[in-house]
Amino acid sequence: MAQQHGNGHSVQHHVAPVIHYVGVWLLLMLLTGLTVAVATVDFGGSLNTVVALAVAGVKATAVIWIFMEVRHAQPLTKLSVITGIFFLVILLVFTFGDYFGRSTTFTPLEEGWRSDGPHSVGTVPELEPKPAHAPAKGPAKH
Amino acid sequence: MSAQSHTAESRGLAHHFEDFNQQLDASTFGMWLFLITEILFFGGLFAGYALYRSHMPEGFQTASSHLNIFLGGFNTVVLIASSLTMAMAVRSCQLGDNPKTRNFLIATLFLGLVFLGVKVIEYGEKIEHHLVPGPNFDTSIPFAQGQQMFYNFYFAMTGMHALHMIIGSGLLIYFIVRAHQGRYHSNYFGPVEIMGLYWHFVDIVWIFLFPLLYLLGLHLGGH
Amino acid sequence: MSATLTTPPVSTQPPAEHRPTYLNITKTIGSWLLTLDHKRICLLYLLSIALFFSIGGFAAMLVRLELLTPAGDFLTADGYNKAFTLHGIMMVFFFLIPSIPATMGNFLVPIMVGAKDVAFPRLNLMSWYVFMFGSVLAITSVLLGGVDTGWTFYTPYSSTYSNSAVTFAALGAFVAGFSSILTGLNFMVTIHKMRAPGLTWFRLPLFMWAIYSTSVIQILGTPVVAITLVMVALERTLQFGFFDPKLGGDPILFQHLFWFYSHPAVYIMILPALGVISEVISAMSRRKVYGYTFVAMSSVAIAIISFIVWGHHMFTSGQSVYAGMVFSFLTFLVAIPSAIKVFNWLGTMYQGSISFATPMIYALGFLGLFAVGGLTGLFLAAMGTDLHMHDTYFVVAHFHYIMVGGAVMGFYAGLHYWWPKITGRAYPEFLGQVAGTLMFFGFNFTFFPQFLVGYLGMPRRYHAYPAEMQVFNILSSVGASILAIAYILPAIYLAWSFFYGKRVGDNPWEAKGLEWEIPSPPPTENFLKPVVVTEEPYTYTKEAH
Repeated sequence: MAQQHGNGHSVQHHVAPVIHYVGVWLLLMLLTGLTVAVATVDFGGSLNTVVALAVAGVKATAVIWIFMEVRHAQPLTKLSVITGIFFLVILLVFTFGDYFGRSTTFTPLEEGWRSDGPHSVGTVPELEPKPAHAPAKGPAKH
Repeated sequence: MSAQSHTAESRGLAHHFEDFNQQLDASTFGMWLFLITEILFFGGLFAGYALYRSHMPEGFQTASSHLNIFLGGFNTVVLIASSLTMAMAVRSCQLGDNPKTRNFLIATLFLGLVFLGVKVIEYGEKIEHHLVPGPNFDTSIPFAQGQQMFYNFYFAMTGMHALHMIIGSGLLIYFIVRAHQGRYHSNYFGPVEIMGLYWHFVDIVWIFLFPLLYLLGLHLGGH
Repeated sequence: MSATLTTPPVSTQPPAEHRPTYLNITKTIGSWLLTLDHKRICLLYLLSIALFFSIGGFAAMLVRLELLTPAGDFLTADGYNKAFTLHGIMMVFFFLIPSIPATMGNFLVPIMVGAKDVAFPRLNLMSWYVFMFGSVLAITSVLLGGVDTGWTFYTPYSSTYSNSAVTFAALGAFVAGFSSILTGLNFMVTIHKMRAPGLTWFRLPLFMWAIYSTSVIQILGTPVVAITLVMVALERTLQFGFFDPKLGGDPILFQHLFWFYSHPAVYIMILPALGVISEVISAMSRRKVYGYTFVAMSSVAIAIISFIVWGHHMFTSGQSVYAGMVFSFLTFLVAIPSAIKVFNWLGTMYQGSISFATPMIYALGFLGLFAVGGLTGLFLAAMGTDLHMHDTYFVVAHFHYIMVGGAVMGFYAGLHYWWPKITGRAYPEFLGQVAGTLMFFGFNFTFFPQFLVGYLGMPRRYHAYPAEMQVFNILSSVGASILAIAYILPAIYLAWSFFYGKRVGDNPWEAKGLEWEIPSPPPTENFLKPVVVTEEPYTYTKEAH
C-alpha cells in the first residue's frame, strides 16, 4: 500500500509502483514487434493464425492483469472476466460445430460457397437478376 | 455512513451507498459486467470473421496484404502508449493528485485522437481505391468476393472500435474537466478507475484486430 | 372464501395520506420524468409497456380477424405479414422482455435486498429513456409502412428481399436491447453489492434468484443480437454483404447469432415469472417453499443451459444434422430444472392452507399452462418430430403457452400480488378473480386449437388456409376475444384502484418478506430504519389464515 488512511471509511486499494506499468508497456511494445516479425514467417497451414492469436492473447492478458488491476481484484471480478470469455467460446464452438459437421462440404472457391450436394446453403435463389459485379455461382475467371 | 455526511471527507459519495468501499465495489463490478457485454458484442463480429475467413482464405489474405502495416503498427504503438498514460492517470487519481491526473488524461486523449486521425487517413485510402464494400467496390481485383467480405469485416470491426474510441474520447474530456476542478481525492477516484477499465478494453480489442486484419498475408510475400 | 385482502390493522403508522410516500412526495410531471427513485421508474415502465402491449394486442386482433375465414380477404398478404411482425416485435422486445424485470424487478430488487435504491439510479432512469427511444424507432418503422420480416428479422427477408422499413425496426430492437442490458447490469450489481447485513445469498427471496438469472442472460446474450442487428442494418444501408449469398455471405450465420440471444431471451421472459410464482404460491399457501435451494439453483441452471440449445430453432434450416443432434439432446436438459420448479411448487402447496385470491388464481393458471407449454417443447426438441411440426401452428401454440400462458400470467399474478404494496390500495377482488379465470379459459380457447391445427399441418405466417381448418381458427379467434376482455378488465380496475381503491395496510396478505415490513406505499428511502436480516425467507406457519 502506498498510502495509509486514518479513518475507517477510507477505501482499501492498491497503488502499484510506476515500474509495473512501464514494464508492461515495454512488454507490449516488444510483443507488438514480435507479432509483426513472426507474421512474415510462413509456419504453414493455419499455424500463423494460432501464433498471432497466442501473442495477442499474451498481450491482452498483460493488459487485463496489470493495467486493469485484475491481479488485485476480488474473485468476483476474476469470475466475471472468465465468464465473458467462456460464453464467447460457447458462441464460437457451437456455431463452428454446425459448419464443420455439415454433410455438404464447403470447398472455398475464389467466389464464395460451393456445394457438392443438394442441401447447400450456397445455392442462391434465382429470384433477381444477378448484379454484374458479383457473380452468384461458379468459379470466376480472373 | 458516518454522522458528518456532507463533509469534504464524503464528497462524491452517493446517498444510497454505505461508504466509499461499497460505491467503488459496485461501480467497478458494474463496469466489468459492461465489459462482458462488450466482449460478446465484438464476439459476434469475430465469429463472422472467423467463419468467412475459413471459407475464403485467399480473398482475406489478398485483401489483408493491401492494408498499410506501417499505419496499423503505428496505431498499435499509439494505443498501447495511451493505455500506459491511462494507467498512470488512474494511479495519480488513487493518490489524490488532481493536476497529475488531468495531465495524464490529456495525454491519453491526445494519443486517442492521433489514433483516430490515422484511421481517417486509412479510410480515405480505401475510399480512393474503391475498396469500400457496396456498389462502388472494385470487382476487377482478384478474389473480389473474398476481398469484399474481408473489407466488410474490416470496416465493421475497425468502425465499431473507432466508435468506442470516439465515445471514450468524449468521456475523457469530461474527466479532464473534473480533474481540473479538483473533484477527486484518495477515497474518491472510482470514476477515473472505471474509465480506465473501458479504455484498456478498447485497447485489448485493437490488440486482436491488428494481427487479424493487418498481418494475414504477410508471410505470403505481402505487397 | 378467505380470498380478500385484509383491512388495515390498527397501525402505529399515520395513514398514507398524511405521511410522505414515494407517490406523494413531489407532484410535478418533471419530478416523475426526472425521478431517480426505482419505484417511480417502475411505474414509468408499467405505463409504457401497457401501451406497447396494447399496440401488440391490436396487431394480434388483426391477425385473428384475418384468420376467421380461409380466404385471405381481410388483409393483403403483405398487410398480414406486417400485422404479425408488428405483433411479434412489440410483444417480444417492448413488452415481454422488459415486463417483469423492469416493473416488479425495479420496484422489488432494492427492497428485497434491503437497500435504498438500485446501485446506479441514474443508469436506471437512463434505461427507461433508452427504452422509449427504441420504441420511437420501432414505431417510426410502422409509420414508414411497417415491417414484413417477422420479429426474427431473418435474412434474406430482412436484407435482400425486403422493401419495408426494416432498418428502423432493427435499430429499435437494438436500442431496446441496450436498455435491457443496463437494467440487468443494475440488478446484478445491486444483488451482489447492496444486500443488507445478514442477507446471505440463501436468504434471498426466490424472486431475486430469478431476476439474477435473468440479468445474467441479459448481459451475456443481448450484445450478440445487438451486433447482429447492426450487421443487418449495415447490409441494408451500405450493402455490406454479411449474410447475402450473392456476395459470399451465409444467411444461416445470421440465425446462429440471432438465436444465441433469442433463445436465452425466451428465458428472460419466463424466468422472472417463475420467480413471481414462487413468491405467490408460498404466500397463498402459507407454506415455506419446498426445496428452496433446488428452486433457486434451477433458475441459475436454466440461465446457463439456455445458452447451449439455440440450434433447435434451426433443425430445418440447413444446419448440420450432427449439430442438430447435440442441440436436440441439450434442449431436453432444460426440462429438468423446469420440472424441478413445477414439482417443488406442488410440494409447497401440498397440505398448505391455500387461498384462492386473485394472485393465486393466476399462479394456478400459470402452473397448468406452463406445464403444457413445457411438455410440448419436448416434442419440438426432438428432431424427427420437429421436422413435421416446424413452422406450423403447433410451434405458435407452444411458445404462446410459455410466453403468454407463462410469462403474462406470471406478470398479472405478480402485479396483483404486489399492487397493494405499489399503490397502498386494494384492487376489486371479485373482478380480479373473474379476470384471472377468464384469462385462463380464454387462453386455452385461443391456443389449444392451434396445437391441433398445427399438427394437421397449418403453417404459420400465411393469411389464407384450407377450408377444413376453419373450425380451429374460429375457435381460436373467439378465444382471442375472450382473452382481450380478460386483459382489458384488469387494466381498467387497476387504473381505477390506483386512484380510488380502498386503502390497505402494510401487509394485506400477511406475507413474509422485507417488502411487507415497510409501509404501503413505501417512503422514498424504502426503509425507515436500518435493515438487518436474521432469518431465512418464507417462515410461514400454516395456521396463519
